[in-house]
Amino acid sequence: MNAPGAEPELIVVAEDDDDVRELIEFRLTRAGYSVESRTNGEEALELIRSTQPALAVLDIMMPKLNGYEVTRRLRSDPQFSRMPVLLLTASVQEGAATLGFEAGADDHMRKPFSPQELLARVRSMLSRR
Amino acid sequence: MIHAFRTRLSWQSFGALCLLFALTAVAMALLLESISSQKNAANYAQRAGQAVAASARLERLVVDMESGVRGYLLTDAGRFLDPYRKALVLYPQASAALVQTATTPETREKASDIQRHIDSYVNDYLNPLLSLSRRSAGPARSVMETGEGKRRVDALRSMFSSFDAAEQRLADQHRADAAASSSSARTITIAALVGVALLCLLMAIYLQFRVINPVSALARSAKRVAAGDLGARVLGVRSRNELGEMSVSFNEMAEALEWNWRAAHEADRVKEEFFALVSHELRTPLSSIVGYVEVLLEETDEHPLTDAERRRFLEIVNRNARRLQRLVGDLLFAARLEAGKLDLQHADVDLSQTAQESIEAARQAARQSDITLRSEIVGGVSMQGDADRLGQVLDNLLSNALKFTSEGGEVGLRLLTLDGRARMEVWDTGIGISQEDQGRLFERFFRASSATDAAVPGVGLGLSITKAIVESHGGAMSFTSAEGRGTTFRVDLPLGSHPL
Repeated sequence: MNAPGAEPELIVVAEDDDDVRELIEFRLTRAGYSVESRTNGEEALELIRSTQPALAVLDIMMPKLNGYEVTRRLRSDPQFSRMPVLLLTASVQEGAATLGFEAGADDHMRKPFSPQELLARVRSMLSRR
Repeated sequence: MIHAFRTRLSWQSFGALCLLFALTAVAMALLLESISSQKNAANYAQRAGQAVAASARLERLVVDMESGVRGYLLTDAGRFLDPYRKALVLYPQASAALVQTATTPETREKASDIQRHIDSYVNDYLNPLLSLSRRSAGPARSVMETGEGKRRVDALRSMFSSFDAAEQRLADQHRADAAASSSSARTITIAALVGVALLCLLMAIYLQFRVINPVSALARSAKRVAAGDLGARVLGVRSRNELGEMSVSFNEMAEALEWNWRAAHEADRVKEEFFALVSHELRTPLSSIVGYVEVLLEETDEHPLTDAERRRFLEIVNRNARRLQRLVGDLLFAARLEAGKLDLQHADVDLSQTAQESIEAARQAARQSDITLRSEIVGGVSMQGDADRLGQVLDNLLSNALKFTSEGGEVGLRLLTLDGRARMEVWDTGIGISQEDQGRLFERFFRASSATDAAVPGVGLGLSITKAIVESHGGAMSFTSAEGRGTTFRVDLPLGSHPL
């Protein structure tokens, strides 16, 4: 959690479902983070490059660029090679998590997920930086 | 006959073998002929030699008789007559032998001539001369001195040499013939052997290019196909013989295999995509339900929710629960459709009322998206059918229209009657359907690129289910669409009674 008065840390969220996006935004904002969100991978990547957030939460099944691809492109850029990335998957496929880690993600959650657990994971990743 | 033309390879190899056999047979026949002619010549030469020997023996007997008689007459010594007496006994047999050993009618004629002349020499000259000399030696001597005997013997000598020469000539001729035939047989045999060798070489080359190479090409391709490379083909098939046909058949087989494999692969891919999509579509509303319920339950005094937040979150949970319910319903319906167990109610349906209800149901979603909802519904339109399913048709079409229309747009429903049919139209001013997607729109699990690009949720079941319901009511479905301008779906249903 941020110290009072300090600039809140920025988290970028990419999720195409409005309700799920709003849920993540609500949970993270309430925990004291500043949240910017986008509905597709392409715009999310652009936003990350321009704002350089502390962390990114990316859905995998998104229009234009999927979560794996956004992660891969971030990792190929030295500026973002160490930025924590958490992927959200809604797939039944067993390999989804492996694919995410191979693309360079730091953590992975399967939908449906607990917002409380998401917050805990975000905090853990940010404290480990 | 067509078959005979097509099996060229077997005719070609059959022809080549026949030619090979014929050449060998000719060579063998000529060799046999040459051997037999040599043997004949040798045989003939031997017989001619016997004839010449017989003639020499006979000539010696004649000379013995002549010299014996001459010596006796000149000396009166009886011992001179011994060779004469011996020859007199031997000559008839020797002259008969000469006639017998003569090899041709011509020399046999000469031999008979000699026989006659000797007989005449002995009977008409020597014997009378000896009889005369026994009586008195003087006249006999004078008879001898006339030269008659010498003339006769000289004549005989020349006849003998003529006989010998004729036999010798014939023997020589046979020998020459045999030599000529042997030499030509040798030439022809060598030519035949060279021909056979060339033919064998040609056959080997032919085998290499027309049989072995195509077979190895075929084997190579078959090996590649067996190893899983279904794109392997036999290239450059030119000949139309059996191997050409085989290669063409092989290519067709590989083509069919590849096609089936691709079709199976495509079916697998579509199924996998469908499962991923269904999983995503089930888990997304579930995420909202689970997540918002958790937020609502975890409300604490330090972090209270406002009434507006609480209400909004409950509405979201409700909306996502309904979305889930609709999706599960669609999946179950599709499963029943697949199993052919579509149980439809058969009752009076007031279409006007159904349309009105669908419009009312869509009103909330339209308001949320700031879309104007319009309706023109003719009253009192009724038909036989399943009210719930027909309502589902309109709900699906309206929900699609709302999903694909952006804020500020319009969506409308029209119901009218037309030539004993009910026509329902659902139109929108939405994003439309691209030309290439229009043909596949009613396919199960198909999702238009505009839907996936705009992240409109769905698994591609709605329209295929809608169409199945319409068709099971004896109706028909069509649509017109322009990209960026909107889409109109039309459903025509028969108003009269019809079997469901």
